[in-house]
Amino acid sequence: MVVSPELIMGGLVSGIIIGSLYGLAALGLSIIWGVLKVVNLSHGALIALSMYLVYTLSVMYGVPLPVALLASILTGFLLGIAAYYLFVHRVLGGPELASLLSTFGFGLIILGILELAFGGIARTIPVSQHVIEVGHAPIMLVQIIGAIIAVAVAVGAYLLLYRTWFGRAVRAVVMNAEASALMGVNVVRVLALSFTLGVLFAVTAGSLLSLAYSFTPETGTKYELYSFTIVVLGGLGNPLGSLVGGIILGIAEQLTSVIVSGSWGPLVAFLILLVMLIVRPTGLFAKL
Amino acid sequence: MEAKNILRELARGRMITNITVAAIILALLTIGIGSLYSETLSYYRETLSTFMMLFSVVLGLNIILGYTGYVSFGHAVFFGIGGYTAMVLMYYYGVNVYLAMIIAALAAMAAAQAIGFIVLRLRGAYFAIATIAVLEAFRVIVSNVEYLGGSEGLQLEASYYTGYSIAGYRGQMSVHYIAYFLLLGTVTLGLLLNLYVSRSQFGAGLRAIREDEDAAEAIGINTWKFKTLAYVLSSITPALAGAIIAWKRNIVLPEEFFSLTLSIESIISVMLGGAGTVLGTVTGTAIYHTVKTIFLTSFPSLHLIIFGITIAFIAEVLPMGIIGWLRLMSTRLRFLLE
Repeated sequence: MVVSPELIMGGLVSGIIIGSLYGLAALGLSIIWGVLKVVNLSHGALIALSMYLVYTLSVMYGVPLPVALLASILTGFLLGIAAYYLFVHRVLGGPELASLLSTFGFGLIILGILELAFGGIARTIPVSQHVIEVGHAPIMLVQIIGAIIAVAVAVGAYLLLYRTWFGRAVRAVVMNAEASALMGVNVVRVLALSFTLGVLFAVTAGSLLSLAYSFTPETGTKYELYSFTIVVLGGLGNPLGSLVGGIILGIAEQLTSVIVSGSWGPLVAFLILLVMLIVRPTGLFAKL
Repeated sequence: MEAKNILRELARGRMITNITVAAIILALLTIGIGSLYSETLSYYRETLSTFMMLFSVVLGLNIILGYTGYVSFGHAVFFGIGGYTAMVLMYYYGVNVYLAMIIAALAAMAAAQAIGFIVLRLRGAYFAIATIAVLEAFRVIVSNVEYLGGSEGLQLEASYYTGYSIAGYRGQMSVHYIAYFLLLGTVTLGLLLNLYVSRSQFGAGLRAIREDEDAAEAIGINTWKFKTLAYVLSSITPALAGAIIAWKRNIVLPEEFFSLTLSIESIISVMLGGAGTVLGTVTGTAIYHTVKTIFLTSFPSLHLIIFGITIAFIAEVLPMGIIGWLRLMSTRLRFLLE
């Protein structure tokens, strides 16, 4: 196969577009990891869940797409609060394995429900096929809108963390939970809200990704590993780092798909992850 | 408690463990031999074969997860490496299963050495995630390499099995019986390895790493060497089981051999019984496997949900596992339950 400059260009552009969605998903993982010191192994399942929520509402019940997206995100928000108190609160401060297992258990419950309700058949959500040429590369309008939303949410998250009272409380808890409690910060509420925020980002990304690709309940695993890779690339708790990491991964994946073959795309992500873990586990943009 | 009493109780505990382990192996052997002569036992032969397959992975995992404290979330990677190595040897070169098993185990040990060189630098959640990534990477590679059958896998011809025989059963008729005894041998080896780790100075070093790796390093334990060896040892029985299962099912498939589910099932089993205990591996795997078999037959579609609830329950309520919890209950039990 001849790899033309147009193909490379197309890979770059779609990599940036899809990568910003990966970045948003990773931001969800990164905030929970950074603030609660919990690696949320239900991350992928929550992403898959949000995809099926959009599917159920828009395809099965004919709800308009924007409403379906909002409903899916709102459900994710409520689920996040419930999940914090059911699966996370009790294992905080315990051994790492406990939080890994309990969030993984939560993820399996979601996966089980999805398998039960929808089976393993790949689903797609029919969207407007309107295409825009970006530097000779045809990109679907929906994907561009999705990317814009993703960037906006990531910037919003940055402002929330660095420009508001809540953000200051979150950063205080990260530095020293006991001292922040003494200063009048409601630590449990901050933790619960941070977890919910993380889930919110994951389901927002999932809802938007459901418009770009077909999905099965298993799809979440792929995005979960992508998110780990991006968090390790971009550093913990750094919204803009996640976004940049996501775009790097998106470009790497899309270029591999263009140059080699689509099924090798995920392998690139795992290789990046392994190399980063060895070379620089604090991330590319971590302040030293 | 006086030191003399403690030693006596410890010796008694070892005796209890030895007897339990021997009794389990003997019971499994009896059922296996019985099934050769009585058709009614074939159901037990198959159920116990699946049990021993899981148990082989669990016994490997317990060395790295239980004793050393490294949460390997992708331990099925060694099951897959074992299965695929054996299948390539059998499919392309017509090697018999016994030799294929040995080579598969050696290949997995070499792979563990190489993978460990990368992932054992990491600790905690980073290690866990890296092991998942390794497992997924292997699956993607295997599904894309034509020599390994791609996503269709490799399948042995019926004619391959003509040379095998046991107690009058020949060819494909003999496979289920032979596989049972091979799995039993693997499980026996795994139990011996665990007993060795549990009782040796090497095992004490691993526990020191589990409790505090920096302190272990500071008191002169070569932690790198210890955990690499632990990782290599932990790959043997999963690889043997993978080779046997590949031969028994006559097919290898990427999703079934590099399976996250199998990795998770073995973590559940280790945790349910009590990580880092010999009796816990048996208890955990037996309970998990029984419950799973019951639920899979009565509510096949609910198994993921049940998995999930079990895992979350163990993590939140019983993080030490059943044997671990009993050991906490009294000092005496702590010495008696190994």
